[in-house]
Amino acid sequence: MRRRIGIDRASDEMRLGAGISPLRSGVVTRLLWAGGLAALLWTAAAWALGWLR
Amino acid sequence: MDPYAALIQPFVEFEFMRRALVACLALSLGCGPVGVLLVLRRMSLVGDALSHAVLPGAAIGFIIAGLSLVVMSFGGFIAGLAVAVLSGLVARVTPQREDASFAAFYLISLALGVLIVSTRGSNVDLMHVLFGTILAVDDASLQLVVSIATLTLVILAVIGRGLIIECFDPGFLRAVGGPGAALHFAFLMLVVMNLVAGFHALGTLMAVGLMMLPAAAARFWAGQVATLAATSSAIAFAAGYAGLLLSYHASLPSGPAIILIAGGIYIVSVAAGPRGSLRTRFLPRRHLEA
Repeated sequence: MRRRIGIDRASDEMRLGAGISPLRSGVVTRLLWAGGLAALLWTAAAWALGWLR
Repeated sequence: MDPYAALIQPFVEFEFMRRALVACLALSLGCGPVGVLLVLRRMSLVGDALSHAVLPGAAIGFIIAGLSLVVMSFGGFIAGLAVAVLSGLVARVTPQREDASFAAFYLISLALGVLIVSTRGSNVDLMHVLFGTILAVDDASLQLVVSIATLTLVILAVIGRGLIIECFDPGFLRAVGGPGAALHFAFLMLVVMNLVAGFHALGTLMAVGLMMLPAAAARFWAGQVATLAATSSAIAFAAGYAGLLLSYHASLPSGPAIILIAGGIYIVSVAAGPRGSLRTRFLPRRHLEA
């Protein structure tokens, strides 16, 4: 079930063994995604608010 | 009709349509993933309860400062958070379950909000708070909605994995020292924040619509949390875009048009989605045929 939803407990336990918290695993990738989406959103907002003229 | 005139021109020609479209995009990006987590945590109706809980705070803000965006949002945020905390508290210190305490507090909240607005404001004000006006989103409202979506994306990037682990394996989360209660509270804050963003556009009665309907529909199309969140956001934005066009061309109120289109997508998903829909249950594909 965990593998199916994108979380693999065996991988998490290996990360724990290597001293990496499963809660922080992949946080940089997720922050990059969030930053990219936020940049897209603010560009659209700038268009709607007339800041690009 | 010319496809350009039908599908694009309203957004090029009119500033209010552009603002409404970007507000829909912001709500989709914020509410999509939050709605998916609500569905996965079996808290779908809690989202509905919290959306009504925002009302008295927004109403008190309205009494204090008129139709002031910041004051009404702040009031709504405090009221929503208060209902979430009080419901959680009652569920922890008494034998009553959280769904029952949520129902009790949201009903009190809703009645209080309607009472405050109807005694101190006009029917027009009450309609504005209850049903919102996405076509009247001004610069300040749009910036607030976009800021809330940005904050939601960043917070979810940081705590999202903990929230997902808490959904599916709370024992493992405790074993690795994860702060389960803090994550739950942070998640409720995210829900309230996004409902406050949604209430400016769709009103307190329908703010939860763009959160729950796309998330529920996405369950029939995707199986992993990341793809569920992306599908949910895409469905929410498609509903927003189509709803705005429908309201523009057919002169219909925009909020209900958007939510009804999201509802239509949900019904199509239940009927024909590739994962667990009626089609896969009653009309399965042939397989292993020689």
